[in-house]
Amino acid sequence: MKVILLMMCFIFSFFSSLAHSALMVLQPERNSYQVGDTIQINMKITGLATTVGAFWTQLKYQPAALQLKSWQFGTGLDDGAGSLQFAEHDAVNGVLTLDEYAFPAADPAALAAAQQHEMQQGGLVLARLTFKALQAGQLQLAFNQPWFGVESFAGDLIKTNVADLTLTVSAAQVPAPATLVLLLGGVMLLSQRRRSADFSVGA
Amino acid sequence: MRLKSVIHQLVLYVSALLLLSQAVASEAQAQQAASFSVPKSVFYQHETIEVSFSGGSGSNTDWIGIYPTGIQPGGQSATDWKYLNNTRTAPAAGHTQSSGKVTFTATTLSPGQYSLWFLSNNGYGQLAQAVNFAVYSAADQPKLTVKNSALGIGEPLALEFYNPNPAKTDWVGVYARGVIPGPGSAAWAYLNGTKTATSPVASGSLSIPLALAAGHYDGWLLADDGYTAKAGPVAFSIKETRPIAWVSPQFSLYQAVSGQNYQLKLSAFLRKNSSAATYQLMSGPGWLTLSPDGMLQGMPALTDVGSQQLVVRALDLTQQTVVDATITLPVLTPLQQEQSAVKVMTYNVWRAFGQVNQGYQKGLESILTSAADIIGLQEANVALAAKLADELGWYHAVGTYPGIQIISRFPVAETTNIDFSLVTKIKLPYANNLSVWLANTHLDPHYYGPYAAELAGATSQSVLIEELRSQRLPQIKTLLLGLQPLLAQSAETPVLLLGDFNVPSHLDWTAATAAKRNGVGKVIWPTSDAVAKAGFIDSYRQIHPNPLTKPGDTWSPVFQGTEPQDRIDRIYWQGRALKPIAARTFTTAVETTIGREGSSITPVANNTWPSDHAAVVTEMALRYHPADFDKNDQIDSRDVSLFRQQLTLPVLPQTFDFNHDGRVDQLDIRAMMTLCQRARCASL
Repeated sequence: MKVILLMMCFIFSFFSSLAHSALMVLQPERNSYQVGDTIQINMKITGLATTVGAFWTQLKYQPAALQLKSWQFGTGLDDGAGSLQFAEHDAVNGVLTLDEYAFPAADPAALAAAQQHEMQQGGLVLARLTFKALQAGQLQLAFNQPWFGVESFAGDLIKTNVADLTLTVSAAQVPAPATLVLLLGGVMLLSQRRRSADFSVGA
Repeated sequence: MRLKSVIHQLVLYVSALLLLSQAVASEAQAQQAASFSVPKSVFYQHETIEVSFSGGSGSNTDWIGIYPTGIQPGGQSATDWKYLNNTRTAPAAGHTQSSGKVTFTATTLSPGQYSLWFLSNNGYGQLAQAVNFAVYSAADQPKLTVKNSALGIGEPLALEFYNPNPAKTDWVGVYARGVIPGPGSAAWAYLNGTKTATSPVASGSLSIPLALAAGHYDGWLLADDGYTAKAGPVAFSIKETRPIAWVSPQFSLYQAVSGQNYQLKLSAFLRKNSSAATYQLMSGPGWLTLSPDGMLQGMPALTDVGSQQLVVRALDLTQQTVVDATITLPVLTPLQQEQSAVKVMTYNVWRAFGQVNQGYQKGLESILTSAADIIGLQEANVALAAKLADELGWYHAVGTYPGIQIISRFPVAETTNIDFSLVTKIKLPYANNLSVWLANTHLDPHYYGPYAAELAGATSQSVLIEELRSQRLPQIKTLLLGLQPLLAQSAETPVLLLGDFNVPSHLDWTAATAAKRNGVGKVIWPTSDAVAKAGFIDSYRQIHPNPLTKPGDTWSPVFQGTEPQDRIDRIYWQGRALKPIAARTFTTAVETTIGREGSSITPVANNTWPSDHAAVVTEMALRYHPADFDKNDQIDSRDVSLFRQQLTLPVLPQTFDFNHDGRVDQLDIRAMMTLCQRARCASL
């Protein structure tokens, strides 16, 4: 009985610690893409136990394989009167820096309510990124740790783990009907040429 | 052939002439370079006459001879003589001395008038101007003796003197030990025991009242209202026998800063006696130590920020006395330090604090009370400024004009003099290594304009006519001209100009203030006008613009009655890096006032305030907040953006630690945003 109780305590504490450890993830809308596809990714944070006051991130991607088309900050740090946002994009080296700071004078209740609502939807969205796939392969999007952090509204650092993203992009497939038409067309062309050759020979 | 011979002879003549002219020129040069002197003009028969010389003809047989005054060398044998090697045997040829000393014993000379001659090459060619001196009989030597060489505070100095050739204006002066007599004696009296010369006194006893602090002093018998010593120095000491006591049982110290070394000398806060006091830290923060001689030292951490309390004990082991003080020590963050002000003071110390009883101690305590950090002293002397600086554990910029000195809590980087004014560069305690130039002056006190304004029918013009009789305008013009190179750099290194200007300001004499000045209204005082035109801003008037409601008079808290009151001590500033945030006149208690200047000052001898001027204290702060990165006097989103960019640098000053957590990082951004003046950090 004691052993069962101890195990239950351990399991409870393990899951409760998991519940309080925030995690920053990059969530694509699909699991696989082909070259030329548009890739929508939500940068979101889960497992929050407190209201977020700021975040600063630096994402690295492969510029030869991905083209960043646009980005947009979330609304969770905006109490309706704005927030301070900073974004810098280095397209050559594939580095996107995104920082957002809620105003210290923002309404904490409004921010908490907005963030709680998003958390119930699966995580607080901090930014939405749109890429275009340029190459096939396993494409990495990674957080650059020296410039990464999440701050509570009260001004403390929130311990946050990060999960980088690997996207699978396959080569673009030629649609099956078109292949068939081409094949048949080729056969017909060949047979027609043979017939005309026979005719010529015969002539 | 004949022509050749003529040319040959001509060449010979020219060569000879050239050699001759060279010889004459070199001899002239040697004579020009030769000099000699004796330390005094009167010797007594038992004394040694020490002659210092330099230069000469270059011969090993140059010599110095003594002849009765009026006798030319060669006219008769020298009364005494020596070669430059101080013997009567010439050194070997080629062994010449270019400088040195030759001594004669006055016992070989009969009393009388003599001349020293510096003569060349065993002959009588004069190398330098003769020096006259007198030899008196040993019995004729003036003497000065101290009856009691260990006095208590306030006890008079008892002396005996013998002055065989008296003048009625011979006098006895008291100076701090080691100070050569000159203007600014600590105490004095004519030989009749008063400050009014009546008749010559050849011998007797003398009692001089002393209002001096404990210390070591010298007495001198001086000739004829001058500073030529007839006898002395005779040493005596004043001992403080009262029990030791803290200036106050509770007091605050200058701030410490987290992460920075702190050092402060406690000695000034203790009223000491002549025994050596020792100090013990009875309680206080762990980071702080106290040496037995009273030096507090340590480095506070960020967790120590706030108001620290300590109890310090002072012990007088001789008198078995123990006194405790409860001391507050503010500990600031680097950011708070950056926002703290530096207090600059101009302080005329009224003849070296010598006009009131225990003036030095009162002056020292007034400085502690004022909490000033940098002080321009007028009417001080080198010894007083050095003593204050030593007691406070401060730095001292020594002025060549003795009355004008500067002492500073912060290091003195450079010192120069412009005319008689003292100009000093002081490094301020800010992270940006800012320094400030401080020019301290004391202008001509004569032809004081406000006195002219008291006359019946006085007008602005009549007042200015009186003003222009003084040297103040040329003096300030000389100073401003000399400051020009510094003013040109004032954007980087601010310049402060302070002192006793002995003249009012044109900002104070307006139509609105005419009623208090015999109807004389607007006067453009040329001195203050010249200072303003040089780009200086009057800090007191900047903070208190209305001269009617805030006159800021500094002359005089002591001389009242009909004495015209005015603001003649001022602190000016210019430069973009600093700004005044407060200004005030400052005195400690003035218990007794007297009438116009010239009244007897005896009634004010027990005043707490030791000066006849009020001091002025201006608090200067950094012009820009550390968060105002673009220096536009506004902290806004642009500054946040600039700070965010700074965060990529490897090293950042702790002054950017806006959230006071000991690190400079992204967590400081939102803390910085709380400093924005406009809602949501909006830019103008």
